[in-house]
Amino acid sequence: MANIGYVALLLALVLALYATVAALVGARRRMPELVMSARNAALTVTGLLTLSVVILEYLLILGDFRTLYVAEVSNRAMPVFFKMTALWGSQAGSLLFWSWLMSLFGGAVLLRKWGKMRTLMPYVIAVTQITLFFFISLISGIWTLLAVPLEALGLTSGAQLLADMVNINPFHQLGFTPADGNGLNPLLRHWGMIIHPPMLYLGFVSFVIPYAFAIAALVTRQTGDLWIRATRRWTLVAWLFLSMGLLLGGWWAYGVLGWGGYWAWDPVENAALMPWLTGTAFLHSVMIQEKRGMFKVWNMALIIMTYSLVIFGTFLTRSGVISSVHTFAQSGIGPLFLIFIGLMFIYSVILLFERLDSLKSENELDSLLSRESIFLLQNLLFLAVFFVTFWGTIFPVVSELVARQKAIVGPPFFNQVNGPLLAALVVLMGIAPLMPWRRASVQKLVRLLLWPVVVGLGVTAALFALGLRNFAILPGTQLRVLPVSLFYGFAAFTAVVTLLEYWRGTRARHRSTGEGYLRALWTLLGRNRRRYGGYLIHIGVIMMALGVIGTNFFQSETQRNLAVGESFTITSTLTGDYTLTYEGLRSLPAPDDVSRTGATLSVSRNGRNIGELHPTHDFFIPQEQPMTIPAMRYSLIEDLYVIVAGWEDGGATATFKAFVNPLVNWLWIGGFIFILGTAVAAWPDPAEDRRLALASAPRRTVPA
Amino acid sequence: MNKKRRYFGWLVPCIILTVTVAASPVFAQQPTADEINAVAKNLSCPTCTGINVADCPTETCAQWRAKIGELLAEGKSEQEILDYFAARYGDHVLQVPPKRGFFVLVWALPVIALLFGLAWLAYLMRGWAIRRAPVTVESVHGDQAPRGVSGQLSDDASLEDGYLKRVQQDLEKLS
Repeated sequence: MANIGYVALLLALVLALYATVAALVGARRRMPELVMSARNAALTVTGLLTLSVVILEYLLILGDFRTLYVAEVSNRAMPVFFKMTALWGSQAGSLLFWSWLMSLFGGAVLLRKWGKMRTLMPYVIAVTQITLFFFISLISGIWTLLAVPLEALGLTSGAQLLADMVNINPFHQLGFTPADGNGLNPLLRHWGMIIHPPMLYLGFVSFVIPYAFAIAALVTRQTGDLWIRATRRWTLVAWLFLSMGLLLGGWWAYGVLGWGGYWAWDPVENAALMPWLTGTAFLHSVMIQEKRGMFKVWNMALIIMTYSLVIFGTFLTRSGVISSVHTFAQSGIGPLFLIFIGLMFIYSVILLFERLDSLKSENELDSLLSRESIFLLQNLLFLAVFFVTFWGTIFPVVSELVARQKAIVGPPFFNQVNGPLLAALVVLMGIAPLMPWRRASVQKLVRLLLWPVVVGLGVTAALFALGLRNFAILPGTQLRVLPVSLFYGFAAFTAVVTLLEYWRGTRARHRSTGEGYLRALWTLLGRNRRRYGGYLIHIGVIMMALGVIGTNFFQSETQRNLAVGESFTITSTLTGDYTLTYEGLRSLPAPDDVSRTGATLSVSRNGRNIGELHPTHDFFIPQEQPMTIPAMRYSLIEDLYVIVAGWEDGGATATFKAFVNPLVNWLWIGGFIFILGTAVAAWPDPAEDRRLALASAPRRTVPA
Repeated sequence: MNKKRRYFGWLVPCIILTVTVAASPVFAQQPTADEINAVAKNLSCPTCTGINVADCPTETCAQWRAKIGELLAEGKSEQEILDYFAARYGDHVLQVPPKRGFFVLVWALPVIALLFGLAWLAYLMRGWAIRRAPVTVESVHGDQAPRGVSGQLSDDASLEDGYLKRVQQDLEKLS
C-alpha cells in the first residue's frame, strides 16, 4: 500500500515538471495543444497527490508502523481522530499536506478561470507546478541521489545532509515492524492545534494564486487590472485563512501553553505573521490601483514579497534554522529551501525590473491630503512592522554568522518597537475612510474629524481620570512616557469614524427609500460587501486592540508556594482583589499514557466567594513530557488564569502562578468579527463583479 | 507665556521622577517569587529555546531563579543581576541583546529603515506635488468617476467618493 502512495508521489513529481515545461514551451511556441496537455498534467498532479494523502491517512488509521512516518507520529493508544490529524503532525506529512493543498488551489483556479484568462494560464500553470515540483521533490527522496556525486567531490557533510533526507519521505519503510509508534507530541493533541496548521497552510498556499497571476501578467505584459480582478477574491480567501490560522494559534497558546499570554514573537509565529503583514498592505494598495490606476509596480513588489515570505515562513517552520519552541520539525532541507527562495525571489525581481515600462502609473497623486497618500503611509507602516519582525527574527542568525556572537531577540524588543507602529496604524485606520480619493479640503476634513477626535480625547482623559495611569515605554529607551489611556483614545477615535461610516450609509438609504434603519443597514452591507465588510474588519481590529492593550499594560501576575488551606491574593487593575485558597491536590482519571493531577482552589473576589478553579498538570509517560493546563474564569472584563507550577510531598504544598488578563476576551471576540468581516468582503457578489467588469471593459489590454 | 513655562517647569521633574521610580532597584531582604520572576523574565532559558527563565519549568531555570533570589537579597539591582548572568554565561542568555557593539544594529536598523522609508515617501510625494498639473482626461469608466481624471474636479466632486452615488443607483434599479 505504501508503495502505491510512493509511486503516486513520484508520478506527481514527474508530471509537475512536465506541466511546467509544457506550459512554458506551449505558450512561447503558441501551441495550444501543449498548453492543454500541461493543464491536464497539472490536474493529474492534484489527483495523484490526493491519492498519496488518502493512502497515508489509510496507513495512519491502520497503524502501519512499518512506515517510518506512521511510527513517528502515532501509536496504538491514540483515538482515530488524532491518528487522522497526525497527517500534519511532523515534517514529511505536513510537507505532503502542504503540497496537496497547493495542488488543490492550483487545480481549482485552472477549472474556474481557464476560459476567461486563457493567455495568462500557461504561466499560472508554470508557477504553481514548479513550486509543487520543488515541494514534492523534498519528500520524494530524489535529493538523496545527489549524495553520491557530492560525496565523490569531497563534500561529505553536504552529502550526509542529502542522504538523511530519505527519512522525510512519508512512505519510507523501516526494515522491521515496531510493536508500537512514538505517538503524537502531546502539545499537539488539542483541537486548536488540529485546526490551526491546516488554516495556516491554506493561507500560505493560497497566496500562490495571486502571485502566479502577477507573474503571468508580468510575463505577458498584461499589467492592467486583469490579474488583480481575477485574484481579488483568492487573495481575500488566502488572507482569511492566514488570519484564522494566526488567531487559532494564539488561542491555542493561551489555553494550552500556560504562560498567561497568546503571542510570544516566536520565530515560527513571526513566520506566519510576516506574509500576513505584507499581504494586508497588498490588499489595501490594490484598491488604489483599481480606483486610480496607480502604484502598479508597488503592488507587484508587494505580492512578490508576500509569496516569498510564504515560502520563507515554510522554510523557517520546516528547517529548524532558528530554533524555537516549535522544534517539531527539523531536518537538512534548509539549504535546498534557501536556494529555491533565492532563485524565485531573484527571478521575480528581475522580471519586475524588465517590465517597469509597462507598469507606468495612469495618474499622479493630486494632493497630500488624499486617501491615496494615507494608503501609502499605511503601506509604509505595515512594511515597517514587517521589517522589525523580520529583522528581529533573523538577527540571531545574522549575529552568529557575521559577528560570531550569539544573541536572542525576545518579546520585549518586538513589543517596544512594533507597539507604537501598530498604534499609528490604528489611527490611520480611523483617518483613511474619511479621506476622499484624490484630494480633500482642509475645512471638510476638520469637520469630518471633529467628533471622532473629541470622543478620542474624551476617552483618553476620562480613563486617565478614572485611574488608568500606566505609561508605556518609549521604544529604544527606558522612558515610560506614553500614557496608555491614549491608546484607548486612538481606538475610540477609530471606532467612531468606522461607526459613522455605517451610520452615514444607512441614513442615506433610509432617507431615499424609507426602509427601516436595520433593513437599510442590511442592504447596505449586502450591496457593498467589500466596503462594509472592510469596515467590519476594522471594527474587529479595534476590539482586538482593546485586548492587546489590556494584556500588555494591565496584566497582573503573581506566584506563590502554599500549604493546603493557605491563600494568596492577586490584584486586578480593573476589578479589585482575587483571593485564591489552596484546597488540595488529587490525581484524576486520564488516558493510559497520561498521569493527570488536578489542584482545587476556591476563589473569592473582594471577599465574596465566586467558585472553584481546577488547574491540572498532565504528564505524558511515553514522551516524559509535562504539560500544565490552566484553569480560567472568563469574563468580558478580565480572565483569572491559574496554573499549578509544581508541588511537594504529594501536594502538601504546591506552587501556583496566577494571572489577571484584562480585556483579553475582546481579542477573541474581535477576531471573530474580523473573520466575519473578511468573509463578507470575500463573498461572491454578482452585482459588484458586473460593475468591475464594466468599469474596466475598455481597458482590457491585448496580449503582446 | 508664564503658564507655558510653568508647565515645562513641571515636566522635567515629572519625567525624572517617572524614570527613577521605574528604574529603581527593588530592595528586599527576602525577595518574593514575584520579585524574582520580574528579573527572570529578562533572561532566556539556557538549555531550552524560546522561553524565559520565569516561565521555564526546567531544573536549570529553578536554580537560576534561586540564584536571582540570593542576588536580590544581597541588594543587587535588576541590571546588576542581568550583567552577572551575561558575564558568566554569555550575552545570549539575555532576552534582548545589550545595546553595544554589533548588537546596536538590532535597534538601529529598524529606525534607519523607517527614516529611509519616510524620506523616500516624502521624496515621492514632493515629486508628485511639483509635477502635478491638470492633464489629460484619459477615459471615464462607468461610475468609477474619480479614476481616470486628473486634477480638474472641484473639492466637492472629489469628496463624493462614489458610494453614496452607488446607493442612489441601486435604488433607481430597484424602483
